[in-house]
Amino acid sequence: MAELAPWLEDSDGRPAFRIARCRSCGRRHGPARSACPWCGHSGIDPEVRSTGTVLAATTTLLPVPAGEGPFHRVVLVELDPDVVVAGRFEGGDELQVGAVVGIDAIPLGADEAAVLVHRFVPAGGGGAGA
Amino acid sequence: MREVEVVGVGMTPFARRPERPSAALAAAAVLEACGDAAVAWGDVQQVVVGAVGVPVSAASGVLAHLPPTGLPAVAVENASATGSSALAHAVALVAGGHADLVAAVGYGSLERLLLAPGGDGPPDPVHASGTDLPPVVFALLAQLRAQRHGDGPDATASVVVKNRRNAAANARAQRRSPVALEEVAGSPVIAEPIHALECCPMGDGGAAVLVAPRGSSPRGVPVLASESATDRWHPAGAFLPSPDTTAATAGRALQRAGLAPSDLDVVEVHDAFAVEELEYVEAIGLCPPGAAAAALAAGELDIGGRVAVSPSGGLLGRGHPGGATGLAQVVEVVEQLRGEAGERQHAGARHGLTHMIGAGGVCVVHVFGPPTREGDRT
Repeated sequence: MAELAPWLEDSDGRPAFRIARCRSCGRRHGPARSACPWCGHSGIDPEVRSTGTVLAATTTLLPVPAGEGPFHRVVLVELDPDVVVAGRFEGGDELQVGAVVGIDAIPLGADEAAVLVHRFVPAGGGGAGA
Repeated sequence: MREVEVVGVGMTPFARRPERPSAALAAAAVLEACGDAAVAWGDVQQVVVGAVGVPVSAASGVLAHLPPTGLPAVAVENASATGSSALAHAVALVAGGHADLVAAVGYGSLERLLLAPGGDGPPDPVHASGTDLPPVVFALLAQLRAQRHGDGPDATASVVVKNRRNAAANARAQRRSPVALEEVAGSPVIAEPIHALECCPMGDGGAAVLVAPRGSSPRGVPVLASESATDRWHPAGAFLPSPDTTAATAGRALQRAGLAPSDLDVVEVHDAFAVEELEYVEAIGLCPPGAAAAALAAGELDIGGRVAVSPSGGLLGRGHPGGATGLAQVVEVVEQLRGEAGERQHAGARHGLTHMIGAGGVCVVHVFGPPTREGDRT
């Protein structure tokens, strides 16, 4: 079984984004790093986010990794006011700015070397968990 | 620190598939810059090469096409900002008194890197998300701008029309045919809402800039500021370029130059995608946030307008090979400030700014002033 990518972790049987909160300035960032990108402090507390809000979305013919084409949807998702990430989106045509989305995990790479990376899905729905 | 000036510039035409090897184009640009400066190649004391997508020994690769002088040479790489970073290092060498005549030269194409993103390294979230495909990134930026500022599709298409009009008057530009709004809107959608003609072309070419201490040449164009920065997300987690980085870097550069944004006459920005020009002219302070589309529509950013933005044709029209891009911007601004830009001349240009970003992300800004002896202007 492929493992979760290092920026994800299992949260109650579902993949979630690993983010972090700085013990000095209190701001969050993600994917989690060893030091706060806002103030440089090395003391950070790990947190996870399993849902977010869509800020923007695009559809492309370009070969997005782990995509099954020919069209791919990529969304910009706010996990926290300070944490905005991008990822593929799969599921339904009703995607709108402001929609709440969840996360599932899909394999990226050849069978033996594949890792499970994030993909956004409608909140409460989607594919297999981690 | 010594003050620095540009004493010579040169560049080859940019093309999708040049007839000569990439390193030979760089060498040709160096010799053209030497001719422009009225110096001999043997007078050049150091070379800083900006190269992308080329084999190892990128600096020696250029020197192999030039008469051997044994001078020190080094290569730098900073994604799209590679050529700009080469200039920053050349300026630092002269400012610090390490050399009196230094060539910054750029060559090589981003094509190989762009067509095979991701590489063989460990998985990273940017690659997994698809946002290492530049059109995807800037499509998301265009969507954000449409929400925040109400930019319609004509806003980005109008950037293309302006820059292609400028490129049509530039013999060294890669795309030399003007286009109409309808052609831009009718080109294939690459990533909604970005059309093919709203993306810069891939290609190759060489560009070179010679720098020396201020006062070396009666035609010298002063480098009033050379500022570089990385953004706080470098290198992973940079899903979108941060406009804050451009604002901060340009702000520092203008402060160092003793200028306000309104003092700028000619500006070249990283318009690899049309939406970027709107974003960066606001970040530099040429327009208030959200006002770039209106300024563009009013002709304020045209040659002959309030400030000429991308008078060379920009990355969209002149081209964006990668290694040479940032130096080609300097070629344009220097020729504008000398009054030698021909059909593209922005009348009375006295101050210019060049801006490039590079994936990851980095930002490099240079500010230039009027030539040492303005009486030499044509």
